[in-house]
Amino acid sequence: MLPAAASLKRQGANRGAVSAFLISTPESGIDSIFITYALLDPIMTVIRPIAAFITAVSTGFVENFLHRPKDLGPMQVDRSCPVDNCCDGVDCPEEVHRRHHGPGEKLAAGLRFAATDVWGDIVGWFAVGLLLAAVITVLIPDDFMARWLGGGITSMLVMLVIGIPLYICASASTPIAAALILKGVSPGAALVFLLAGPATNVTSLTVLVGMLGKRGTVRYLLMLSVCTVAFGLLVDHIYRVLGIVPSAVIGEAAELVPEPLKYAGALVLIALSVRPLTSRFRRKKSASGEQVTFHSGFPIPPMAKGDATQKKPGPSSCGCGMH
Amino acid sequence: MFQDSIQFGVAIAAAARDILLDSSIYILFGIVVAGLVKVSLNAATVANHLGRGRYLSVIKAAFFGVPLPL
Repeated sequence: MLPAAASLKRQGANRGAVSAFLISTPESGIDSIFITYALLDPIMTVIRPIAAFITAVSTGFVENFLHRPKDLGPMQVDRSCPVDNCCDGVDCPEEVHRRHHGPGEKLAAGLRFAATDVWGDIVGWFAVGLLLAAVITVLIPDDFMARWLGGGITSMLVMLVIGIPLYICASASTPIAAALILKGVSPGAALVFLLAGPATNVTSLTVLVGMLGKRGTVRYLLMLSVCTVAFGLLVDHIYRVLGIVPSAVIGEAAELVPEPLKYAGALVLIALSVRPLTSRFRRKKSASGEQVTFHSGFPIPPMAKGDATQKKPGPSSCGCGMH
Repeated sequence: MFQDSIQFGVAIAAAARDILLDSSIYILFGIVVAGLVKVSLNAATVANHLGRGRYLSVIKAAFFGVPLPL
């Protein structure tokens, strides 16, 4: 998420747009929407992306309202081919650029992305989230947390203080939130955790200061906190008005799935997890002590300056014919 | 003592297995759709669609960020 936002900024996006992107991308994704439906309930599934969108828009608006974005001329847009980076699209006509790959090729690439990039990015965190959720489920007595985190502004603030420095991705935070709700945490407080957990963490703050400046980062955190807590309170209100007992509806979607399909799905998922988990472990072992690098599947934009990794010219066989 | 920790470990493994069984089919659907989104909309090319607007660019950036994984 951070490399993508940095590249947005390099391409000339204004600070408000970068802040908005920095909030809505980690707080919500297609993958986490599906997991939310499975482990939480339809209300949370709908509210989570809406809350991410509104938080992102409000933060970006405040940024651009206080700082009129400078007119930097036309954007230097990165048009690299998203399928396999075969063409940087700079001198390629729009019509040709769109037709580098057929639908079958795109579908195959999409499935490959799903198994390697998307799941590969999530799996480590998801394993941690799963384990934490299991520990919460076993160790903490039912309704134990209802007294302190059962709703109201204090529970929201507690979850905010836990969520902001914590680094966990949207998918991995979902099983933890489900376990917390089953132990009496109010759905609003759980939503605060779901939003604040992925949006920021201790390491991303230093990158934020570089991209938005110190004051910009403070505004970013302030807006994020205000919107997140407001949505937490709103969600608790919704459950109260509808008269829904959260712990009774959590995870109901999973009951719709027939038992054999559950086992088949789990087996496929475990099979997909072996490679990314072992390679991550090996990388950690060999690279311990090295500098932290952000891994991402995004192509390096051609205008990235000072980067050691210069973009290689794509193969001339990609169909563009204009290289 | 030893027996207790074994029991604790088994209980945690069982809880983790239950969560995994409940979510894996949905996760598979989710990552497949996310992979397809990634093929057609690269996160780095979102700038393509933003434009120069003071407020419209923010709305678009937030909008594209919602489905994008990570």
